[in-house]
Amino acid sequence: MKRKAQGGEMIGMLVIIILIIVIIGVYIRFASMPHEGTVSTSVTDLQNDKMFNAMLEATVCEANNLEEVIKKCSKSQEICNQDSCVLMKESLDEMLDSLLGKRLNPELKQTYFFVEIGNKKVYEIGYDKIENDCLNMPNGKYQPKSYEIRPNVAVLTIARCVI
Amino acid sequence: MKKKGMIGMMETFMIIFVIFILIGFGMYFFYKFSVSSTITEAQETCELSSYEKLLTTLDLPGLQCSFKASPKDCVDTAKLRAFIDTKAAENVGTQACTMKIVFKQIYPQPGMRVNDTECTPDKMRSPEFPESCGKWTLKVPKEELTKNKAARVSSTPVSLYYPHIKQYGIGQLEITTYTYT
Repeated sequence: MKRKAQGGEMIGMLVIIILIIVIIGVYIRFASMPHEGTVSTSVTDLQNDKMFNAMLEATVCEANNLEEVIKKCSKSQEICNQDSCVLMKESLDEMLDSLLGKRLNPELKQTYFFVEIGNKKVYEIGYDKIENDCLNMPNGKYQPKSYEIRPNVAVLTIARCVI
Repeated sequence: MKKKGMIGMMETFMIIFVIFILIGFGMYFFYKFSVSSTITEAQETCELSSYEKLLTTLDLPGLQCSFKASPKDCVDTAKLRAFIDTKAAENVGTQACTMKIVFKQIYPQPGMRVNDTECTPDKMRSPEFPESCGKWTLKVPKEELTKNKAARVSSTPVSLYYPHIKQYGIGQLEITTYTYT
């Protein structure tokens, strides 16, 4: 009789343990769900593509757009009676300030933008150590995106660290 | 014997009580997580669907720049104004998500006093344009649809074309989605 009662208690104990395991399992399942989804990634890609397109198309002086100015800078030629490389830097400063604003602040370590002509950086703004720092962050996702002005004129790159 | 039976009964009730408490905790956590994940999913779906719908709309000949019958990846501001004035913009977006859609001009930068001024046909014809105004409002939801809802702003840069002066600028397409917190 006593052994029968002990068996009942054991079953009760077992049910409680199983329930606790199930609750912990459900908690871990939902708590470990990824926060960064494909939606955010696709939105960032879209933003980068549209940003390069809008920047290079924008009229900078007379009827010349930024792409023309960068092409002239790569050949060290003048444009609109000005030094094309100085005009490129001024225009990029103004455009990026409007487009990215505070995100370019190196202290925030969020964004890095640079322009390369013949593998030489002719313009850079933002946090230049973004790649190493972002990859060392537990949830940091390093997202670089480049656009090439052909043929082999220049490469514009924007790198973001999405947390 | 009677006393033993009573103790047995009490033990059974205690175990049932503990089991109910544990089931209650389980249900609470499940409800909490499923609600929060549903809200997040709804917000992301709203955000993505708003982008998808908007991109589809931007591909329409009614808004997109075109040169010699070939479309270009930019927004013609004259077409945009006409699109707003014909009330066709009211159908942009989804019925399920309450959205506000605004095109803001950011380069060349409009003056501080006019950066919140709507680009009406008169403003767009003025000699100071594009510095004379700062935005084109495509869609504004009714106030009652935004009450007690959290606003989430998503934005993407766009190339803007000013046909009157044959120049290009940079704009920011801002989509504000309103969802329950």
